[in-house]
Amino acid sequence: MAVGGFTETCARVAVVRGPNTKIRQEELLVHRFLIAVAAGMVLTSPAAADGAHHFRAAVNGVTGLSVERYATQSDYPGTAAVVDDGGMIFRRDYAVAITASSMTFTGGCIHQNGDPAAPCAVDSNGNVLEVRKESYTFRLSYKDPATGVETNLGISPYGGDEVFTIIPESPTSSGVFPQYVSCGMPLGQGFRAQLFRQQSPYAFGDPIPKGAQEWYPATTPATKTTLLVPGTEVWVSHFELFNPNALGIISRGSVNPAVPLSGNGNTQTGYSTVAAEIAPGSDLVTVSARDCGKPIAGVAFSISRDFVASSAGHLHVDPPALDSVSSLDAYVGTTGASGSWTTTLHAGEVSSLMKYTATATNVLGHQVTAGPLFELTGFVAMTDPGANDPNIRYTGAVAGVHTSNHNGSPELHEFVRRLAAAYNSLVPAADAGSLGLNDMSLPFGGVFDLDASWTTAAGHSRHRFGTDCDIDHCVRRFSDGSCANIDYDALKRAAKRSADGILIRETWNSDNLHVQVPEDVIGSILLRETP
Amino acid sequence: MRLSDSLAALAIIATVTVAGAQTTKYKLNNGVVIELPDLTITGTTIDATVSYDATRGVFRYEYAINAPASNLAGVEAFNIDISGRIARPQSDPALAENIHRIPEFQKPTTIPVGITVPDTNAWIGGIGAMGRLFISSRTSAYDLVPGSRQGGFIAESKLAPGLRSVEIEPSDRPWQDALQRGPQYNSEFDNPPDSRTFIVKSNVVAPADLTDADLYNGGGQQPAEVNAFLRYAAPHDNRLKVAANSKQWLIVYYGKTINPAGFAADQDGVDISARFHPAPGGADAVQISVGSTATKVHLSVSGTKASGGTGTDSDTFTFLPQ
Repeated sequence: MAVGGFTETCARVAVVRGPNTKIRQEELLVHRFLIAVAAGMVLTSPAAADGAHHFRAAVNGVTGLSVERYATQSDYPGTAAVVDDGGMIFRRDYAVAITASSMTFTGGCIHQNGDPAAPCAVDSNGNVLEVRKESYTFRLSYKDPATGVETNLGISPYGGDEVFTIIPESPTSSGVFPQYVSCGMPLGQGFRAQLFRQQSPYAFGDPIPKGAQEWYPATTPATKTTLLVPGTEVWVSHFELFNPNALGIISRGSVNPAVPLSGNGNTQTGYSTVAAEIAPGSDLVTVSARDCGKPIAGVAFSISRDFVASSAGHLHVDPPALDSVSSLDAYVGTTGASGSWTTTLHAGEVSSLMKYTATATNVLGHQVTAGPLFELTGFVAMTDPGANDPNIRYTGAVAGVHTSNHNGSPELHEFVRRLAAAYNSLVPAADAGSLGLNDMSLPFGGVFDLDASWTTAAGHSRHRFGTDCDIDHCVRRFSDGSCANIDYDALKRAAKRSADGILIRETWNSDNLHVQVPEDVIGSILLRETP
Repeated sequence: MRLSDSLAALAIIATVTVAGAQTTKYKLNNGVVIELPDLTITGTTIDATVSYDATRGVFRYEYAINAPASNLAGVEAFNIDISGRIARPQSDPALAENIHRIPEFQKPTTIPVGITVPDTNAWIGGIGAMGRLFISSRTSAYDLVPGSRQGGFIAESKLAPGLRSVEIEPSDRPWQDALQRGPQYNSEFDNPPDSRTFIVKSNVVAPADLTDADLYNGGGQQPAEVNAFLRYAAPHDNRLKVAANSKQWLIVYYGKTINPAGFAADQDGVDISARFHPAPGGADAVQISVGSTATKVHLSVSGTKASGGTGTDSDTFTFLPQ
């Protein structure tokens, strides 16, 4: 930290460690002191109204004090973020530090009890005691809000307080005094960065007469249970240690969509002999409060959910009713003794990602957000190998609505290839060509909403599982690319006989050609897609 | 089955039963109920004959479809399960066929067959992906109309017979015709019309991939090696409750050391030996007509034991009409 406006000429500074440490030369390097001579120090002794001399310090004290945090070790002691009084320091951060941009001393009188507003102290002869040296003590401590017990955290790597003794007419310094964040530091309020000051009428190196009081206020010796309280607290900053990961929200991560017997439009599976309906998948969502492996009980929280647009193949932007994707039994809770809380998530009919975020307002007294948890409602294990066979081609993608419309089970992709090959072997060679494969399923199945309504009101109720595919009427001839109208008899026989599947009349409409994989394999497909 | 250079044909009539719930009304999700023509083909049967070409070591299975006049729709196809146990090359030039093979995707464990249809312009045949032999009209114009019969469907295989499932499927041409008459709806069906609900399901003799464990020894005989002179793919019990006035398959596998001259068979005391063609290591498939009273079928054959001595295996099956 640079100190502007000073000329670095000479310096006299003493660094005195806490009661249990020794001075080391390297400390100067560790703390990166910038030492300069303070310019313009004025020592005055104006006559008071009562005729007594009252000294004042023209410039007196430590400036630029702040609590700072270092995100990584490489940030220390360079890039730091200043923590507001009452602010937070993340558990994940590397270090918290007290910094001072300068320490200056310009003399004056020693105030009674260290109170600058109090009259100057006098000796036994009535002489005003002039400040000849001052001591500043930095301290990081934690005062348990529940018990009131204060623990001096010490300043790493030395432990204990950081004490600077400076004498008049010389020093200006600054420093960074870090405390490394560890699991030994509890989360919560109660952390304090403090600065204490003492003044002395004796200059640094002066002999102290026997019985004389060297420091004002007097130093209190530290014991095992009592902290050293050196002087008067002249600055304090409070902060909280916070773990952004203390609140967590987890689940298995995916559930299969529901296919009820009735609902929006036709919602049956179409597999009356295999599975007339598919129960909505469910998952356990667990919210836990935990810090450094220890559970935090009694944390009240709420869970919000947000639809993740453009997920699972739905490119249309209007969100669906959220319950049609997934929902929870409860959206508020409190962690138990184990630090955890669990509720059940239920899938809807629409495949999509849903973002679940848990927020606690009473952890550390401020808002804590966990997660987010991204839960997928969808049939899994579908693929799209591409139209990598001359007998087929892809059609039906609708820009901005559904462009990934050829997802299916491996069995479906194999089936349509068999079907297309068989079809071309059954029709006259001149009419052989590529079959137009229209909609199959979206990447994770579920409702394939033709009209972007998030329902099957417009049809496609069977395009949910990667087992079905629509076939275009235009077969593009191999010979010249022109359209040959598809031969229904040949398609039916290719689908039902050679490929062993089903040609379904999905609608009572001559334009609709819809095929399905062999019924024998549907059970295993559904089992795989709904783990 | 007697080793013979000529094909010994056995006329067999398959028994068929109706399976599946049939409906003619289908609901669209706009509330409209569509009534479609009934595709019932309940009385449809398949005749099967099995013969053995000893020279080629090939079993010949010949099928015919009988579509009674009571059928409400044409018969489009029948499928026979010929799935097997072990992988085999699916193409065998020793097996005669006249179909145009479409690309084959069946499982390698499908039993290899050669397929012949009577008229390649009217009929197609092949193997489905799931291991089913299919015979189908080429187009709906060749569906087998009610009151007609079509034979000449042949499957050749090197595997001996067993009882396999068969499905006879009606043509949905009447639905196509109804569609052409309209009206048209774009709404989807709650449960799409599926002509498979009119499928007739039964069993028929066809190539099977049986192991010793699949064969019943007929019971009773000692020692075991003698009891194995006659083993059965069907039936698997000596006393069977059956439908009255039905036909029951008797599929017998002969031991490798039998003496064909020592074979005898009778049904309720009437000699029916001529219906069988015992040969060491061979097999026979014969149907037994069962009336309204209990029917007993007795088979016996002599053979040579490992010790060089001889023995006689004798089995009796009692069919109990219900």
